[in-house]
Amino acid sequence: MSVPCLRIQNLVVQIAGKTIIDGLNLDMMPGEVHAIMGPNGAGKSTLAYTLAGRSGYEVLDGDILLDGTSILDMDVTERAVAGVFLAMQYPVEIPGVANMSFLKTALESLDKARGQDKLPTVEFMRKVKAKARDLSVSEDMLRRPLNVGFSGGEKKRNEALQLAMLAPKLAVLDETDSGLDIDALKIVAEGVNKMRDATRSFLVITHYQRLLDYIKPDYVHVFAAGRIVKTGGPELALELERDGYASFEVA
Amino acid sequence: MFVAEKIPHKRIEGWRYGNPQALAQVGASSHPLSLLVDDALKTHEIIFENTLVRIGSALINSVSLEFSPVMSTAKYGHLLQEQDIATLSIVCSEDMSLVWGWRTDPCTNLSLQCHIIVKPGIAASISTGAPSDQLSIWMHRECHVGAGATLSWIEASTTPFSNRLGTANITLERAAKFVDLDLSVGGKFVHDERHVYMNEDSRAHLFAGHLLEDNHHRDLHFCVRHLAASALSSQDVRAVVGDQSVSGFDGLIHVAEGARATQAFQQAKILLLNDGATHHGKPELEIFHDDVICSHGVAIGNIDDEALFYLTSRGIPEKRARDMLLRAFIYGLVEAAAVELGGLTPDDAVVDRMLGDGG
Repeated sequence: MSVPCLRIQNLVVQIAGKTIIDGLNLDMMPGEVHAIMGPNGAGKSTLAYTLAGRSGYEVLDGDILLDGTSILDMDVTERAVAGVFLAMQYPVEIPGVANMSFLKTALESLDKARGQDKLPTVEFMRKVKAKARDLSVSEDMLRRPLNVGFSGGEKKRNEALQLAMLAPKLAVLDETDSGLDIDALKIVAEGVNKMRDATRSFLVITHYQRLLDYIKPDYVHVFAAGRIVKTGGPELALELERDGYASFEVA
Repeated sequence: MFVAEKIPHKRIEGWRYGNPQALAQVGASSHPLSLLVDDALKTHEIIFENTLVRIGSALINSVSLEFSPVMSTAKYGHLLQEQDIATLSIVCSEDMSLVWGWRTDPCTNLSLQCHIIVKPGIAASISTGAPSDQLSIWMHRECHVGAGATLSWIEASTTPFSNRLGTANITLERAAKFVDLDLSVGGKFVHDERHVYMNEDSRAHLFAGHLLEDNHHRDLHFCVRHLAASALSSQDVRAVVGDQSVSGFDGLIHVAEGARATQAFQQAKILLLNDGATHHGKPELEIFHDDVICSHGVAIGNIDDEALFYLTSRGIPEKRARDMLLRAFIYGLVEAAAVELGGLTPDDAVVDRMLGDGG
C-alpha cells in the first residue's frame, strides 16, 4: 500500500495563545484532490499557513507527514524543497523584484537544493512563456515587479503560473477563487487540472462550490472549529451550497 | 588632516548622532595634488591617483586646479589645519558627462574643494565611482547652476572603512535643475550635507541611500531653501541599518516669504535590521508663505515578513530572499532617481557591491 502524500495527525495549532486548529486528522493519497470547505474563522487559512511553515503558527500537538516524513522541523524553504506549495489567498506585492527574475531564482533554488541541474536560461524562457500563455499571463506581467499593480485575477493567475513552473508534490490552494471572475476561474482551474497526475495532490480550500465545478475533488471535507466535522464526495459541496454551514458551526 | 580640538562635541546640533572624534584620528595631511592631461583617459574623465589629478584631453579648458584658502562658505572648514586646500574648478560651457574616479592608495587622506559652474542652458552630469578602501575625504562643493541649466550628480561610495565629511552648496538659478543620487555603503564616520538654494521655477531632486552594518555611522543633512516662486523639490532617503550602526537624517524644507506656488516633498524610509541598529530622523518644515504644497514623512520598520514568507515559500533560501528584498528596497530609490536623471543610472556593479548580486 502506498504512503499518503500528506498525513495530518491530531494537529493542534495556536496563534498568539488561541487554539485555531484542534485535533485535525487528514490523509491524502498521491494524485488525490481534497477540498476543504468551511465558514469564515474555521481555521482553513491557518491550516494552509501551518502546512507552509509560516512563523507564528505554533504546533502544540500532532504531526504533519509529507510522503511519510515529518515536516514540522523544516523551515519554510525546506518545506518548499520537500514539495509543498501554497497558492496564497492574498499574494503580496513586492516592488523591485521582477516577476520573471523571481520565478527563475525560485526554480534555480529548488533545483539546487534538490541536487538537480540548473535549467538553461533558454529552456527556462521557453518553458515560462509557454506556461504563461496557457494561463493568460502576459509578457508584460512577467516583466513587471512581482504582483505590483496586478488585478485580483492577475495575481491568482500568477500564482497558478508559479504552481505550474515549480511543480510541487502537494499544492495547497487557499481560496484561489476569491477575487476571480468566471473566465479567470476557468483559466486557473484548467491550469490546475493540467497538473493533475498520479503523483501530485491538491488541497483546495474554498468557501464556495463554484470552484469545484471546474476542479473536481475526490473528497470534500467540512471544516469547522478547527477540525474536519464531515467528509463526503463532491455531492457534499452541493449540499453545503444549498444548506450553508450553520448546522456545522459551534456556538 | 583635522585639528582635534576644533571638532565639536557630539551633542552639538548637527553632530549629535555619532562621535566626530573619529575624524581627529584621520592623521596626516593630504597629498599635494597636480593636474595632468592624460590622453589615455576617456575625453571627459577625471581620475584622482595619489598626487595626480589626471584629466581627459577634452577637459583641458574646463578644469583647473589650484591651492587656495578654505572657502568662506565651507561649513566645517575651521576643522582643518590652516593650510591652502586643493581647489578643483570645473566650468561646464558645453553639455558634458564627467566620470570621476579614484585610484588612490589605501589609507590616503584627501582634502578637496570643488567649484563647479554650469553655464546657462547647459546639461552636465558627474558620476563618481567608489574610492579606495580606507580613503578619508573632506570635500566641499560649491555648485552654481545657471538659468535653464541642469546638473546631475551620481555618487557611489562603497568604502566601509573610510571617514568622510562632505558638504555642498548648490545654487539654482531660474529654471535650473539639480538631481543628486548618492549611494553609500557604510563608513566609520560619515557626515554629508547638501544645502540647496532655489530660485524661480527651479527643480531639485535629492536621492540618498545607504547601507550600514557593523559599527558604521552615517548622518545626512538636506536643507532645501525655496527662495522664489514656483520651484519644486523632492528629497527621498532610504537606509538599511544593521548591527550596531547609526544612521541619521535631518531634512529641512524652507519656504521663504514670497515663494508662492512652491512644491516640496520629503520622505525617508528606513529598515532597521536588528535591535542594536539606530536611526535618528528629524524632518523639518519652515514655511513663510501660504500658497505652497509641502509634505514630509518617515517610515521606519524591518523587512516585510509577508514578503519574506512569500519568497521563502517558493524555495528561495532566507538569506537570499532577504538580499532580494534589500536590493529591491534600494533599487526603488535608483528607479525613482532614474526618472529624474533621464536614464542615467549608477553602474549595476555599484548596487551589487552594496547588496550582493541579489540574483
